[in-house]
Amino acid sequence: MTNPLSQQELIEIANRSVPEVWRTQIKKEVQPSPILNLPIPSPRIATVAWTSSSGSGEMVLTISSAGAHSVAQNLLGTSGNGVTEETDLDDVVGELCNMVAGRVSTELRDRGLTGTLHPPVLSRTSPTGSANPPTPTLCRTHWTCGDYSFTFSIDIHPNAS
Amino acid sequence: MKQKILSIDDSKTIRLLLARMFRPFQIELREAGNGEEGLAQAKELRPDLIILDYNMPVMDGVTMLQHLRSEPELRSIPVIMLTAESNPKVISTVARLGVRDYVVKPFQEQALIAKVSKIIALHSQETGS
Repeated sequence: MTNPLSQQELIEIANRSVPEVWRTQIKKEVQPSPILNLPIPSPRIATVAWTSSSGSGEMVLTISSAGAHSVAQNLLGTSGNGVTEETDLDDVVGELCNMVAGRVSTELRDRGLTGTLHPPVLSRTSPTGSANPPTPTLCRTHWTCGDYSFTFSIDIHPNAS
Repeated sequence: MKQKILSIDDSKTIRLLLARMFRPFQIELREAGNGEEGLAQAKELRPDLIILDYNMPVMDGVTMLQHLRSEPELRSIPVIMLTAESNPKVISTVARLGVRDYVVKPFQEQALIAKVSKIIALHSQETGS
């Protein structure tokens, strides 16, 4: 089976979803980054799985610890009120990925791909052990916001049948 | 008298975000990290409104709603779902369970505050409280 959406369509969905979440929740504008494949320093990685009757996939947000601190401050107040533990910072990254995944999932639904999101899974390294996630097969976008950068990827596969 | 809101979400980030949003208002905000804790808090607090997540460990939002609606003294508490999930099956299930509004993340803070305010006011009129 072929993928239900092309790479270009997924990139366009990511290009609408990421800026909307940052603008709506973080009150910041993001810029697509011209610098490709540079490693994110001290990365925090959140993965949200998406499953449907016709396929499955995952959405991955990779952001530096400094970026996660900045997001926490913008989202929760000047000092990142209440974010005191490392796990709290992971929770911020997980929720941020959940929000972008929610926006992506709504757009997939509107294109006839109705699926269910799963809770974010957090890590500091990718499943392959490197500090950044492996190259996704479909869509990986790079962004900057002020002095931090991050990546967001969407990978969707049709069910084998 | 302060209005009481119960926020039920496994994400501490969302609970902190709601606390920041409602801090300027005369609102007592309580928190729970899953449906089971939320149900216990609802029995104790009798909130004027519950803001409920869908996807949570221990007890998810739908199961929590089913328990809430089966308790005579709790069944009329208005509930807003706040979730990343936009699956129509989930939306229709919680609509049947009497959810007053369904907000999909990302969300506009001012819009959520307006919805909360409107639903609490309506509930006060309905119950005469």
